Amino acid sequence: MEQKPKLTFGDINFKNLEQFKVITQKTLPVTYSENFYYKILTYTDFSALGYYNDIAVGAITARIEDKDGKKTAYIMTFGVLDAYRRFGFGTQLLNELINRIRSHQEIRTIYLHMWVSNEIGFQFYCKHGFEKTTYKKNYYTDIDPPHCYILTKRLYPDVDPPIPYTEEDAEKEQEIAQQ
Amino acid sequence: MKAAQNQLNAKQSNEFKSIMRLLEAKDYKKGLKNSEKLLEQVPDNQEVVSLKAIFMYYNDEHEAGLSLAQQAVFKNLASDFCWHIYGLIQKEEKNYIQAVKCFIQAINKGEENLQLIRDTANLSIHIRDFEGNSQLRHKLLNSKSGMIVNWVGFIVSQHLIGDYKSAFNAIKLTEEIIKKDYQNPIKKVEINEFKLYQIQLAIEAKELQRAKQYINEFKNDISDQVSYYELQYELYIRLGENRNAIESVKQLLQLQPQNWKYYEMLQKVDPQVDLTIYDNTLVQGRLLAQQSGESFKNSFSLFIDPFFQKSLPSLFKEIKHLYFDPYKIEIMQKAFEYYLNKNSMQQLWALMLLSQHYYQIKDYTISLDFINKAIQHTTTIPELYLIKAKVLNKMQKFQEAYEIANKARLLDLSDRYLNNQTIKYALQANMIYLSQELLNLFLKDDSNPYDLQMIWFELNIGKVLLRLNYLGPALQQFNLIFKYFQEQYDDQLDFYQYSLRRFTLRSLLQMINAMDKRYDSKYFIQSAGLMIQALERLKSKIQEQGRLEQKKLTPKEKKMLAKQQQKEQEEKKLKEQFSIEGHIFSKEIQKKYDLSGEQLLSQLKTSEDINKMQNRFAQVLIHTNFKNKEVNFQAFKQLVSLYINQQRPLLCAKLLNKLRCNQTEQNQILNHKYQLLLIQFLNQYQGVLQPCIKEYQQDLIQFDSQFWDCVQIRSQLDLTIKRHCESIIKGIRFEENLESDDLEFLKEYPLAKTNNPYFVFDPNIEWQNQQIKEYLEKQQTQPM
Repeated sequence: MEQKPKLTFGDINFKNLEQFKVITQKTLPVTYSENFYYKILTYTDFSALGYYNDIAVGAITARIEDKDGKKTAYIMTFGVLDAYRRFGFGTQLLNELINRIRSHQEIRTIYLHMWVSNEIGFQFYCKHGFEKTTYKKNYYTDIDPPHCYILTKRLYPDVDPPIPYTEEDAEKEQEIAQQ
Repeated sequence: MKAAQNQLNAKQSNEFKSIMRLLEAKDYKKGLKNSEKLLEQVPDNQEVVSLKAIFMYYNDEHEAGLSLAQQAVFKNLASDFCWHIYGLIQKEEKNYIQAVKCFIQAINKGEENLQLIRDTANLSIHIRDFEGNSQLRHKLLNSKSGMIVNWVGFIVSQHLIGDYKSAFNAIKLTEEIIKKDYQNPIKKVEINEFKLYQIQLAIEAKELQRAKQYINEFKNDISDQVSYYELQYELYIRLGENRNAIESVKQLLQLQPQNWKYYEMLQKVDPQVDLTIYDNTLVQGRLLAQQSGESFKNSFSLFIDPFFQKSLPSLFKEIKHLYFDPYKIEIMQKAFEYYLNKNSMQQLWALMLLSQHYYQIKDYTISLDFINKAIQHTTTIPELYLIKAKVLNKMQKFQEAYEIANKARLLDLSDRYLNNQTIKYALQANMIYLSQELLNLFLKDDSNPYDLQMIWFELNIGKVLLRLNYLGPALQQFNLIFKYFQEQYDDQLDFYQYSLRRFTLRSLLQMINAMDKRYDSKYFIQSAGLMIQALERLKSKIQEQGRLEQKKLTPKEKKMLAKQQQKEQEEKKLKEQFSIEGHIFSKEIQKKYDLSGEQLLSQLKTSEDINKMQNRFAQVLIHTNFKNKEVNFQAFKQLVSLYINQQRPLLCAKLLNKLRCNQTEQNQILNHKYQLLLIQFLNQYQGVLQPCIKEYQQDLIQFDSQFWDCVQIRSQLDLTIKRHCESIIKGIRFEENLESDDLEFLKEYPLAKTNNPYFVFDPNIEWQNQQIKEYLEKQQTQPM
């Protein structure tokens, strides 16, 4: 590998949804419902499959949300197959997403949920300008420990103010919601 | 079409003409009415009777129309009109030989009708009556010698009867007419074809000097370079001018460097040639076969390395031909293993190639292991799943094979190849309904496999139905395939005249040749064999039924009968539930193609009917030959009991020869058994034909023992067959306790587990239901 291997990007559509599905199942510890996968097809603007040598090796999906009246991008899934790690494919996928989001000036931040024990993931996101902004307890139901961080990247840190660090508890929120 | 109309007055004559116009306009209803009216006035005019006959025929009264037309001919033998009509109906009935006879009568008795003569000439090519064709073409040429197409037709007709001298003379005159005819200049492609045809004709006529002259003269007229140099090569070979032949083939190699045939042609004329100078994958891959030892090892590594560097997964097909040599196999395995420790991509291809490698040497367990690792490594490549499905299929795990192939399909729903492969495995796992659904995904609206004559699909559906013992529908599938082959032959009718007009004479000859050999095809041989087998089962079912009906039933038998009826009820329910007969297609299509086989079965009520049908297939099958001996053997073995039961010694002798010619290491033991049966029959035969088969009569015991002396018994199945052979020689019934789970055994004896011809049961049915459910759920959630 003298040259740095390059990814090409493709849409996720109905015809290749299964590709996305097997990548997600192989790379993420969470089990998603069938329904989730079909929903992905409605967020195609900010989703991409990454191809290396015509082989799908990774995928990133995101959607746009309203948070306190501001638009923000939320990364739903992001993963590269084990055998293709350490080639810089993750960075290429993330950059592809960031580029797409930058063409929408109103979107100022990107955020995601990350499992607390995901050390490697944290290093990766740190390198790309993400910060821990929230510690969320009891977010997951099927992995242990069930807590997560919310990592946020400010796309325009020179202009936008820093985001304060908070702590939340998903269980308590739910209780409140139920009451 | 002109009628004599002698006995008609002016008014009637006009009416006759207007009815003729109705015939041309295809208004058959009105035509029938009017012709009946006219017939009331002139009841004895046979030409009017003929008219009525053809209208009856076109109004779906086929038999009545045909016999009325025949009567009219016999009552007025001198009328060309009556003969013409009778011929038309015969042609419509596809009795082409009869039709030609009628038309020739009409031509000889009547005025000159060029259209009729031309049609008859084409029909006579269709029935391969080349002599008759040449006479008719001569006639056409005499009446209209200014038309080039008549000349071309004449040339070909002379060619077909081997009168090359006339053909060349006619060509010379034709060329002159073409030159003079400024108004209708002949196109460049047409000149190209005509010149190529002339060269080919000269070579075929063994007029090699003439051919050589043509080759030089026509060079600038010919745009089809490949055909030109191929003919040139052939000519030089025949002339023994190898040096020139080398030049021809080098031209071909420049045009098509990826065509291995040309390299072989080069080697043939120049055995010393050094092919290594051709630096392409094809040649380098092929040349590996000739190397050995250390040099092979090095060359092989050099050959495969670029594939690994560039990550091209198609390597295996380039080296598959090297698997004949155990030494090479070992080297190749080591070479692949080397890449297991390399980078990620190379690891993947090494895993895949090793799986293909072990598949090729039939070590399926290890092959499966490697492909699983490859899939684990990269889960997104459909090809890997297909390899896995192939391995599982060989391991007789048909259900799993389907599931895996389906995964490949899901990975890329727009890939037709993946879809077809999935269908293939679905049918291996007996899933008719699902395979139809899958097939539909890639068919255009309102289309179906029967309109499209998808023989591979029909054949495999037929196999499933036969496995499940649904005889009617199964028979109909094979019957349809036979029909397709007949239709294919008749499709030629559109092309004879077309080819003459367009100068595509080489294609015409090629088509005639290919159609004459059409039954030498894998699909026909397979389906004919299966048809005969299915009919055999139907026969035993009918005989069993007959036995039960004749006898007064004891309570025990009554119980059995009740059980049987219950089984049939269950079968019916099952059919409805699983749409075994293919209800995914509309009622009209089911009826049109008789998918339930009801119509076919209604013609097969007695053993004699079935014998007749079997003979129809056997007659064709016995003369066929396909390049794959295994395919041949599987079909021919079905003929053994058929011919023995029918006491046909000459056919048995012919069949014996056929079996011997198709003996392979794989089938030799089974083949021996069938040969034994045939020899036994021939030995016992006492009839009038005995002198003719004398050379086939031999000492059975010696023949058998000699065979077993030089063959290795490898499996339980081999042993069973050997015991069967012993029982044949001793003349005792073969009562094997059929408890073997050996699938090979079950394949050989499809009814092994039961003697009940009503046996219908598919052990996969629950699993199938699950698959169908999953498929339908997926389809419903599709966002459209």
